[in-house]
Amino acid sequence: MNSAYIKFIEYYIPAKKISNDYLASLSDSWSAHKIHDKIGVKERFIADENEFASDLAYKAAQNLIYKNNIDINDIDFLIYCTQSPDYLVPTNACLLQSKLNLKKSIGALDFNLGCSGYVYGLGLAKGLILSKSAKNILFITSETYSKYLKPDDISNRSIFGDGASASLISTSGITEILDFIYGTNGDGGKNLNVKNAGLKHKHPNINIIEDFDEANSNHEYLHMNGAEVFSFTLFSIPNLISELLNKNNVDFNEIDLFIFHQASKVVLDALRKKIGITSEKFFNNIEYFGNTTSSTIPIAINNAINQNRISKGNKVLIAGFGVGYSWAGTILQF
Amino acid sequence: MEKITFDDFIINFKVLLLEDELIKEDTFFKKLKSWDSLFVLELIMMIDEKYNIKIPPEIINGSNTVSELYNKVINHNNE
Repeated sequence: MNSAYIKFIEYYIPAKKISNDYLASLSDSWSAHKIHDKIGVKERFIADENEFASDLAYKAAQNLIYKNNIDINDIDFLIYCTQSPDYLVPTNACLLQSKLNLKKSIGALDFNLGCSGYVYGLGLAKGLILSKSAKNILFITSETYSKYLKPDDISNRSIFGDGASASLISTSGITEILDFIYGTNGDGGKNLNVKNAGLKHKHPNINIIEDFDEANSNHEYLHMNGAEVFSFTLFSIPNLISELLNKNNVDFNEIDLFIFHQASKVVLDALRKKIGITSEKFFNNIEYFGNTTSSTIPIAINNAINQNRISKGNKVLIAGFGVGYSWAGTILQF
Repeated sequence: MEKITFDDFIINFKVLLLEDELIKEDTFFKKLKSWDSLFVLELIMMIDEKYNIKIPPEIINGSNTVSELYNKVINHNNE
């Protein structure tokens, strides 16, 4: 076996809708129109108070298994991407193995990435396929970032939605996963973080501010320096795209559809313009779900297939970028 | 690179503003009605697109008047 494929992709979006009218009612400076116009999101959906990442993941996996008649005994590995796990210990992957009643002879692991997570997960899954460690990998992305957001943080509450995706990565399928480019710059950690989400903040004699070089945020909640993250994206991702095309020996014009992480309207518009992608070749569905972090790309691929934006023979370039900073891209050959 | 004139800079700056907003070289741009967190992104984009200069957000946040920002932009070297 010398290649890996995405066989199926499904997703699950929680039921609780957060409208722009509702968010605008909490703020003096944001109107519903401004949220839609600037952030580009019409509505986003968040997990209920008693609903967590593993619950969204379970529903996405159920969608995958039942819609596509997958025999759960064929699944021989589970990869789970999340930054909002139910627990730090044990992993959500282990919880999900039990909840889905998957075989006990499978490998299962969590990895912690945000908006680049889907592409990284495809890379890990491809490695497992090529090394003959697995043949049918259930790959989950699932986040409940809403639980990290400060109630009066209208800006981030406008951007982020919760959601989960489930993909089956296999030895055959609808699209071959070609070569990858990865990137990391941990200096960006200070610009997008939840300072009190781990263990270090509990130490009485350690000031975690020294790790982040800024003190202007509430440690309990997600802090995002939007201008810095935007600047990183605008000036790093065009290079990722050209490196990716070079590595795969594919010409820019040979790409039939570009699917980028759905960060926000302003980020997507800026990247499309800077890279010179026509709107016909640029997929955008942020309006309907908001930024679901690691799930935006699989949801977009699913939507693009269902909207007949992708045909057999097409090349689709996917790129994820964000928290870390972390970025990655690959090309899918349909 | 062609010299960036203040007149040209202010024309491109005005495009980002609301119709009824006026600016001069000594305008404190953070006091404009248009100013918000997203305006910084629009300025970064405009300066990159028009002048091919990658201006870090802290330079915009650390400037007060339009002319101060202009001077920092023309003296900024992309890494």
